[in-house]
Amino acid sequence: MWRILIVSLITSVSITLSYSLYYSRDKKIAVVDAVKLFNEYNMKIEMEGKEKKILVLISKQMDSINNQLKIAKTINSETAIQQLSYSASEMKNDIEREYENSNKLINEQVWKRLNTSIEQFGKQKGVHLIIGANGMGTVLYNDSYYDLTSEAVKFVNREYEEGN
Amino acid sequence: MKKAIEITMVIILLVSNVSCRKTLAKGEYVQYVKDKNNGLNKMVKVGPWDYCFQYKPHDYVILLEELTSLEKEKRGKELEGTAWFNISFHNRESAVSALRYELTSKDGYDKRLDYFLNHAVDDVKLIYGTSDTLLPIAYAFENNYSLTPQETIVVGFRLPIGEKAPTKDMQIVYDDKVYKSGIIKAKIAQESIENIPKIAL
Repeated sequence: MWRILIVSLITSVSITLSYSLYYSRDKKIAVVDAVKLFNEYNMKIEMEGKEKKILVLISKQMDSINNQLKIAKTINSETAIQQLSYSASEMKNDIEREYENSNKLINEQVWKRLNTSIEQFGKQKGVHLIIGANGMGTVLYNDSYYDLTSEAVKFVNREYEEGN
Repeated sequence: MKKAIEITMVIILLVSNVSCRKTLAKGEYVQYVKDKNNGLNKMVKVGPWDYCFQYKPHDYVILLEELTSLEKEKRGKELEGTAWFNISFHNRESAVSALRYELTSKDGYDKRLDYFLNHAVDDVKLIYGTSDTLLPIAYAFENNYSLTPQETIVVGFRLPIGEKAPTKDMQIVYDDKVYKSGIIKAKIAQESIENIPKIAL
């Protein structure tokens, strides 16, 4: 009787152990540094480059107005000071608005693309869950075993440059 | 002696296999060019949008135009030194024409149509090889009058001097400003171009 009990106990324990081992191996999880992924995505770099050109152009116009304002102040021309101060303030608002809008647009467009690419990446790697670490405490610790950031960056950039 | 003949035969077979391009019947050739597995037709998914970049070899363009043999020769000469693509897009989640997507006014539709007819050409370029940036020499928006959900842009580029047909990697770049999909790229690899079959006579 005791022998049967011991054998059945050993059998059930080993079945449970093998099942949980298999189960944990089957459910693959990966961590990707979302900030690094975003910053190293070629599309984001290119879009920022394009936007920078526009911002530099507006800044140059602003510099020119500020120079004129300095001259107006030197010669003490009240009307010119008033008009140029207004233009400078308008220009400053334009720069801020442009910067804000472009940041929003880049974020929106880049993440739209990254989400699709990361989904493809996960499917290709056979990963069931990808956690995006963003330095805000989502992931407190992970070692290199789970970290697929470099592979993900390579994958999304290849997808971006070559298409599917 | 026997072994030498065998080795020579194997080498000949291998060389002929590498150097000879496949020959396909007209219908099969069209299917080959359209087949995504052959690297001449690339798809990019951005949210609900599908962007399809179809490289059109000269033979493919001529074949679809259904010309007489005399006209074919003339057309072949015209196409020398150029590369042609179709850029198609449609929304997977909507049966409405892309031109009408999320629009409520006629004014909005007219502006969008005007963009595709006259201005989208400025948002397309081709990177040929590793360094040549080519701008379109020909551009047409196939206006289907909202009859199908898919819209198509036809675009052609002049290749660098001395190139009769594309022989290097090509990367077509389209910066979508209407559906906020951003910069979309598709690469047609040199290998895929080299593997394009011939059309059986």
